[in-house]
Amino acid sequence: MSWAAHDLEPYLFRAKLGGIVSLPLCLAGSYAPDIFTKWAVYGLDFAGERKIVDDPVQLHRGWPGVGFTHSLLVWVLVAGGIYLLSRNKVWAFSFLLGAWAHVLSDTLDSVGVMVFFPFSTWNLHLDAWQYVGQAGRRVDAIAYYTSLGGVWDVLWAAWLAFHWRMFTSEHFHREIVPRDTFWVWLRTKASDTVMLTVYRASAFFGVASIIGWTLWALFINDFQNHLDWTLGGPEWAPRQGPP
Amino acid sequence: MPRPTTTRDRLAVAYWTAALLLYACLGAFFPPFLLLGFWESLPFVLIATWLAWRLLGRSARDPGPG
Repeated sequence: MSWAAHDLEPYLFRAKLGGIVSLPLCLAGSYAPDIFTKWAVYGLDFAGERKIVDDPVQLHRGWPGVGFTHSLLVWVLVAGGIYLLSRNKVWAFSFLLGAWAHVLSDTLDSVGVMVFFPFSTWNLHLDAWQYVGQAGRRVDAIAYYTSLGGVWDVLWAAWLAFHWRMFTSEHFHREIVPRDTFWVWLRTKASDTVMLTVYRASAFFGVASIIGWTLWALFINDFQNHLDWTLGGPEWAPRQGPP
Repeated sequence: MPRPTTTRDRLAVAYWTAALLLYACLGAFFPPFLLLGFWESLPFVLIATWLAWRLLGRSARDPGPG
């Protein structure tokens, strides 16, 4: 799985593609595949000792399970529903873009995703880093941010840093608000400070997560606190393939 | 072509870099700040946004209200 990449990818899409991307809908799509299941994958505590399900990998990425949330077709259907309800092509496209980015990013771990479900339950997995979600959030954080997963997040953050102007109030009011009816609507309900907070929060959280989790994994936590950028790493993590 | 970077731009970048590092350190020493998702950071970003306008003022080119 990917961590902060899901928070950051939509901003890059908005920066590169311009007004054909609605940032709030793209972010909603980016969060959608995990929004109802991540808590069940990790269990009820930080250490991963209070399990909810016996096989988190099967639940998260398999079938039977909710692995269909990581297929391409299911989000085409949801985006179609958004279009039918809103008649807004930009919203539907943006949601689909965010969801597909999430799905394709998650192909990089060792479990992968059922990209072609329901036509196939085969998992596309590129094995750049180990999937460690079944060990709980604490161990997953250590594994992810000391492996190539952390590098993947840093790449998105570094790319976004070149687009720092998109986070200015000036850019927000001149380029973002007039081109997306979501912001035009929100302007009637909320103050300028609230709107900018909503606009910036996911990027802020994503970048802060990368720094915070990396500091924690390397300097505060005392378990496997070293970088391991080998392909398919970290080496100490339990090998976990598709369900 | 992007407009030239002003002193206010540099101060704003420094301000938000400091805010990011502060939140990241909060999360490093108390991981619940980073556990769930961006909504956890909303109160912090709201205060940081409010404070930024008080400390830095608005850009002369900012067409926003206020």
